[in-house]
Amino acid sequence: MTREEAQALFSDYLEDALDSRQRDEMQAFLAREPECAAEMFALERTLSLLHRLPPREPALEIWRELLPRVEKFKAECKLSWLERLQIRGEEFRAQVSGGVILWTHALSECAHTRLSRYVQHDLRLHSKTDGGGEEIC
Amino acid sequence: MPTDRRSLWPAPLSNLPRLDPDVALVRQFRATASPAVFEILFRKYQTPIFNLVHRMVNGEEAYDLTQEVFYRALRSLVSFQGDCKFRTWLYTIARNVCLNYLREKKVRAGLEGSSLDAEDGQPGFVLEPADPQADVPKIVEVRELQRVVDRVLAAMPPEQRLLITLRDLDGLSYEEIAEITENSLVNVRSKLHRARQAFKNKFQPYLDHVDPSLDLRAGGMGK
Repeated sequence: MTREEAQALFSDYLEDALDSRQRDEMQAFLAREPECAAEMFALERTLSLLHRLPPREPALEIWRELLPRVEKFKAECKLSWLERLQIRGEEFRAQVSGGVILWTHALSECAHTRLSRYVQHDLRLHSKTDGGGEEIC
Repeated sequence: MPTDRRSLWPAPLSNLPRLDPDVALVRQFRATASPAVFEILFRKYQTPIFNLVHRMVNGEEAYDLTQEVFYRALRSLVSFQGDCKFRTWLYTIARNVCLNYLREKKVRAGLEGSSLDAEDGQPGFVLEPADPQADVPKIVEVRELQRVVDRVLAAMPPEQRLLITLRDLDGLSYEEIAEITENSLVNVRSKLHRARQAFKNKFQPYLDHVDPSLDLRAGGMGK
């Protein structure tokens, strides 16, 4: 077993997902490669910390913020399918408009960057051809 | 003539296919559209979903995005067929919301001209490595450890962050992760292994600073 092969099996070894032959081979390898064993021990300690880390819990009340949207959805459910379709259509249009605005913004930024690069390049060319003696306004 | 009485009795409860309690709640919600029923599902999954979202985006946006996950789930409940676990379905929505948000954030950061310090991690984020030689104070509080873990995660590509959070922080099975990330089991295993190695390499300088007596059962932390 090479070092790379052993490293590739670290996770499976720690999760006890290796068959007995592979496990024995790994144990023999770790016994004769203390550097690799230390690496695996560090991974084991890291994963053990992660596994025991308590989950992040929200400090703010999310439900209070969500409730009006749930109520609105409930009211929407009472509408006819045509009215609901209209609402969905409007939402879709709003999303498309948002996307188009973002895309246009991106395009204008790209154009602006290219233009400023071109102008700088042009200025440099001018200063070279003029021998650098003339001041360019 | 003796009759076989066993056939007259209903099958024992243990022999019946068990209905996922979440699916029962979904059905109840579909029938009544009662916010109270949805609130039960919300309360049950609020912490794991917030945990995932917070690890993925690492900021105040986690609140808005968690709300968005549940709102999207609410709107899509009609299309939930029950052919997968509700939990897996909800996590898939959370994954999509987070990845979309990170993608948009990257585009916006690009537009605003901010530098992308981390090649694949969060734009503008630089992980300051702990110097093992320096006199760094021991990590004696869960809050500090949470912060370090979040910083290390934030310096990793979103896909690796997602895999580590789902498996090592939320404790989902490989099958569930494969479903959520739309990857094969083999792929999930190999990608998770690479993610763990990357996490370990970034976390290693901090590892020796973690106080061995740190009590990690001391409850979850808010922001």
